[in-house]
Amino acid sequence: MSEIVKITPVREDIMIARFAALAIGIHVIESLLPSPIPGVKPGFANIVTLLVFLRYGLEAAAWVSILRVVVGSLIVGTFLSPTFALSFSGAVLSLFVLLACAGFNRRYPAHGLSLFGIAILMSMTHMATQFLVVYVFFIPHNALLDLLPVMMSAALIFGLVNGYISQNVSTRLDMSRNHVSHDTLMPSDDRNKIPGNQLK
Amino acid sequence: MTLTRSDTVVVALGFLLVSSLYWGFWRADESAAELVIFVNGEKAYILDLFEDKKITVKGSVGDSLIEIKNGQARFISSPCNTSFCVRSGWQMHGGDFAACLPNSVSLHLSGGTKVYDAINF
Amino acid sequence: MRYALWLISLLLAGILIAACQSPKAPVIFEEKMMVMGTVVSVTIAGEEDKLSNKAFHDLLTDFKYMQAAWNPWKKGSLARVNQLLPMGPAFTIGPGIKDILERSRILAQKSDGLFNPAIGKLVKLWGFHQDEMPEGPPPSDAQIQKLLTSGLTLDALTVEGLSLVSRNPDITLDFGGFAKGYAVDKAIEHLQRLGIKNAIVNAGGDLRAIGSKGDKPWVIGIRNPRTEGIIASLRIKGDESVFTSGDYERFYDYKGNRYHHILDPRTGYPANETRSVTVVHGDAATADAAATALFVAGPKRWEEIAKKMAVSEVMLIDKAGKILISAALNARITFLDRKNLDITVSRLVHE
Repeated sequence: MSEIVKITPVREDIMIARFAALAIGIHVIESLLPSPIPGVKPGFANIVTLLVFLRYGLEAAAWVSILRVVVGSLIVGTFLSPTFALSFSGAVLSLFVLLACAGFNRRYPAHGLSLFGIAILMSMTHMATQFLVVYVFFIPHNALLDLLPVMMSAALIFGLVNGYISQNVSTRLDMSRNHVSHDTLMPSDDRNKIPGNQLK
Repeated sequence: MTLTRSDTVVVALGFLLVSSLYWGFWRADESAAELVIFVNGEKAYILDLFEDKKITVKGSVGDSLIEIKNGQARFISSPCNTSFCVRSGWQMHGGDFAACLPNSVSLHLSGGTKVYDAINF
Repeated sequence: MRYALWLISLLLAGILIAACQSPKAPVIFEEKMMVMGTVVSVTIAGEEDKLSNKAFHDLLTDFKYMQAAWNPWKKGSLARVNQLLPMGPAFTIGPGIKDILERSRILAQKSDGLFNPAIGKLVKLWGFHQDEMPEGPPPSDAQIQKLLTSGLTLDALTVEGLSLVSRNPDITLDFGGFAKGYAVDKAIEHLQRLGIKNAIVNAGGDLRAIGSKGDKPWVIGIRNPRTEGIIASLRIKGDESVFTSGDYERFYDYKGNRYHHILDPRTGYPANETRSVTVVHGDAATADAAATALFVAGPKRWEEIAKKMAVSEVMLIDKAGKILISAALNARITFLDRKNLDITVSRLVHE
């Protein structure tokens, strides 16, 4: 007789779910807005990812980001489509960049990056990854390269915008777990401080 | 909102990267980039116009001698009696071409900004 | 610091917006084929590669067929007609030959016989009927006069239904003076049947263009007959042909004299008052025939013949290099170096 596996959400799950929902909501609304160039979106949902990272660490941020991409694509209707492949790979690589930034900040606390800088790096990585995937797997055409400068400019601008917003929000909501200077991102890696966390 | 020095570095690098992309991919190239040589209606050779060289092309009647120099190309000699191809001289812009019809050999410059969609002569 | 960043952001936003505004250039397909004794280039705008490729290969087949069909001497439809014409009795011709014959007849009449497809034997006498260039010597005056006295004119031919008969055994047909134009017209029609609306078919420098390149017109460069450079440019409006007849296209030198392929049907010798004539007109067959006829007409009669043939945009360069241009063409052409050219504008008043 097989046992019914019961999944009881713990507090962290609920927290992540809520933030993911927020990110998904932003993502879906954003997908309704028309964009002059297909594939170029401000990516405001990343703000949620960044703020979650600031407060709850990389793994939580990764969950929020991946959930946003997967569930978002389910809602919008592009799940497992080429668009999905782009979003997903972009999100994954951005997370690696996020990890790298966290590592960098830990190593050189005096020269740490704030959410502002990280947002820019994540945004440009996301766009560059998407472009690479399109070029390698979908349209290996030289004409595509003419779009690259424009796309990357967009990524840079939106990175700046998202960074600015993230930074401001984190300052106003006092989101830094450790209450250190809001200028430098110091992610909480003291996971025991997250209420209800039993999974690690 | 205060930014750290690292943030500024990131912004600067981002700006630099984007600018170099424009410069790399969007620069309008004045001169042609490639030489395509047709023999008997088929693309027989594709050569870089910026690599000076002389090439002997075997056509239907004999050998045509073609030279590439300084981003330009021309027929040096050809086994036809009008030698219109040789007399057309150096071809330099994208879209320019010269042909030795008796020998079924023609050279075409491609790439670069095209000023005219077609040439009447 | 903060404001500098906003400035940068705005600047980049500006670039992005500018990039969005730039008009979308359509996909351009361009391929060349060697056929009809020249390089034929086909340019198609705004169509999928698959269609453009099919169209190109269709045209290659068409041109090869037409080249074989209209060669006056080598085995084909026209060669057969030319064989039967001098024999005397009436014989049947195909609708293809009938069509090109009738078209050429109208144009020959309008050109006062300066465009004359009935001089096939004369062309052959000079050696310009074959693909390879003759080496000379040129034919003797006696030979030429002998052919001319019989009266080489299409009027000697009668077509009834699909039956053709000739009263003059010296007449053989050579459509060289407008065959390229006729072929280009057929090619464009084929493209239009395939649903293509924006294209250029350029047969060795003589072309017909339809539609436009996205929202910009096709731009045609006109080459100087004596040098390699472009002397003028023209923007195509709608459906137009640009044809040039020149003394540099097919010729041979013999004992210091140059003999080119545009023969004056009245004298039997190459017309020698003109270097080149460029005609801009709707259909290519007319443009081609007109360019040939006006070349023969020369600086003295070009205006008169242009009016008769109802072509209003003409540029003639005489043997001294002077440019005579109709007002209508002058209004829309852009010379690259106007002040260094000797240009005379003529008002061809007609209609």
